[in-house]
Amino acid sequence: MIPSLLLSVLANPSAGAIPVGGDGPLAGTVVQVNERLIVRWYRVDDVLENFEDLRVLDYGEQVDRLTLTATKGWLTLGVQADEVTLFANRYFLDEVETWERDLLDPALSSPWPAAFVRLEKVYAQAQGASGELRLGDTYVSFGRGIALALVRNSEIDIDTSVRGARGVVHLGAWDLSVVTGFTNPQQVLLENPNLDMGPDDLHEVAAVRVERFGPVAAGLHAVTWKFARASDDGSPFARYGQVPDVAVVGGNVEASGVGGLDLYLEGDWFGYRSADLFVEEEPRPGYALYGSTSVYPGRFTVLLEAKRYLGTERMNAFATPWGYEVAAPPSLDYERAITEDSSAEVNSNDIAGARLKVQYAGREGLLVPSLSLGAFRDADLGGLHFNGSAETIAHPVAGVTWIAGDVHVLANAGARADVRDGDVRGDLTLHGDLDVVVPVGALGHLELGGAVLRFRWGENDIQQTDYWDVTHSLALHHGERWSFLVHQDFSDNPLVRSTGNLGEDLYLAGEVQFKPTPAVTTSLFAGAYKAGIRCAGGQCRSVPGFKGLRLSVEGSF
Amino acid sequence: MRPLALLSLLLLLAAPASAADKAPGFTLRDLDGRSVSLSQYSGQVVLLSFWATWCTPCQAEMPHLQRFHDQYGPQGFSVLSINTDDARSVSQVKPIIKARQLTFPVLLDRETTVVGLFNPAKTLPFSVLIDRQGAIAKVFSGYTPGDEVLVEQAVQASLVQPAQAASTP
Repeated sequence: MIPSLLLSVLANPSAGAIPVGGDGPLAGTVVQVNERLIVRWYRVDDVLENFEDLRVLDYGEQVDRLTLTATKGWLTLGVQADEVTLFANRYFLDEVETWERDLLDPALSSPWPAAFVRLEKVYAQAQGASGELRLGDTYVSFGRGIALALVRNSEIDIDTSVRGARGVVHLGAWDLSVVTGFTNPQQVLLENPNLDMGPDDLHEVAAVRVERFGPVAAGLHAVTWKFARASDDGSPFARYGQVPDVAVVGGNVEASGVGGLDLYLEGDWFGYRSADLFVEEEPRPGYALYGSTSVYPGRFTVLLEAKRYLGTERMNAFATPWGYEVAAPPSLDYERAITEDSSAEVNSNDIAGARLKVQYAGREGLLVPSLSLGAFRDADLGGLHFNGSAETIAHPVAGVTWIAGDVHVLANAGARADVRDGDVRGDLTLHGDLDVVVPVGALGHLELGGAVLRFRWGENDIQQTDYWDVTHSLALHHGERWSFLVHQDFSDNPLVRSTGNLGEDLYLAGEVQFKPTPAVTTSLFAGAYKAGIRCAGGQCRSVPGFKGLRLSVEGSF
Repeated sequence: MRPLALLSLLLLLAAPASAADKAPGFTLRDLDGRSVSLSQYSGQVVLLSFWATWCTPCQAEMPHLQRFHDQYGPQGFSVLSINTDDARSVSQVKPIIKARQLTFPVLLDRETTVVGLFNPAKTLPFSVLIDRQGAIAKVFSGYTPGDEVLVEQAVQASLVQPAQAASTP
């Protein structure tokens, strides 16, 4: 793979797409290629009994993702092919071959025992002035994602599409969208270890939305889900004849710049029919109300969001064990401060709250201080909650963005207090994050990035200890091609399942990045980083730690 | 690795090192709900800039994009900023743009369809320079301080190319 990448860079160093020449039927087709190759060597803490001096449990993993899109006129074809291979994951003991780590669940077949190749995404899309039709893998999000949200979030290895069909008809200011198919979660992961991969659960979705655009826009939507069970047998298409597990109907109105005000309101009703979505309870309906408004007086921008969710997260019950969600209402929380404890509030089935954020545009928008205050009332006592009391949560966050020539500073700091009912001590989180870049003469630019979190546990059903969680890195960006980085993490959070390479809680790593062209990045990483919750775009997942060596190449052509 | 490696090798070896053809077209809504198509910018040099509200280097890059937009706009250059926040955080986009006093067009790619066309890995920030003929002239992945110099050089090079010459192999 590396030779092909290098050849492509040399052959086509500047263009971002490959035209197909000649006079044949493919003439004028533009092919775009994106490729990412990662080779990791995992250093494993455990040792094999009686062979402590041999690191026979260490193993390697190589992951490759090739994405191709070909566009000619109104037609686009796209594929994403993923491949993962484990190596050095087995050893001979007393002349018996032992597989220490399996790549695949026995239910998933692969022509190679140690390699898995999969056409993860494939689609054909026809697009015209009056609408579009897409067959294969498609993405869809209605309103604010409360009723349905299946979009790419590849930053945290979540890319669940709907494999089926989607049609959109444009009728003047009106759009009609229809989508139906089965969930297709991405199986091969780039950032996380690929072990024991199993077959996908084919949850069936059917959804329709009517939307009118303009200064005042409005939409109505309906979504049904039929979730796959472990006991399913026969064709998943048989689900089309069954009663849905849940049906959601909702609508929204949106006004942009009307009287200097932006306004968005959405309401959704969740009709649950399946007892499988409830624990020791009878199915009962849920609802969601969400609103946001922003005004821009002088140099200030003011954003107010409010929510009331009852039973909305229940719809994700079949998806979250596999690391994704089929719908995700806005949480209004600060992503970089989400912990194992506060994730319960983010996924609460009985919560109301609001967040006010004010920003000030100083120095023509180059100096922007901000202040936000979130306040929530979480009455959900089940699910992931560690405590048995309803709580009121206050979460102020202050921040600043300052950009002056080659210098930039982005910083945020906040405190989140969970106040429990009944004189029970609640949790307290203090957090801060920082990114500073300064020029250092001929050496280039120095960048310091980091985040710190201090968590003090309240009285919980499962008592834990207070902890610090620190992540920071120092980078020297030299010229347009080279970056040299040192990463250091610390965490004594007992819920973090990783150990450091400089001690139980301390992690150190070095990384060199080289960009042969502006569109290609190569990286060599050696050392360790900690496990933890990582969030992007409103979704979070628990990411395992890493200890070892990693080589990666990523490029677009 | 072998099947994919072979496929990509064949594909990339077959690629002629000539000027690219037209960039894929798309239509998205802007912050005020208006429909905006890439085809509306026909004949201009366009920088598609993909970003998200939670992306720190994206925010550091934005003032440079604004300067390019102001400085080279009269010569036929436009920045088309494409926000990839999904529905859950999209309410924060316009306040950020207002607070940073950015005036280039901002389009919302809430369903990640356009980022899937140009940047399926969804690396952020990510920029695509399109010349006057509508062809992809250059791609920039990521942002570290100083990268704006490369982008500006590429913009200047595209602006001096006559519209007809831009498509000549």
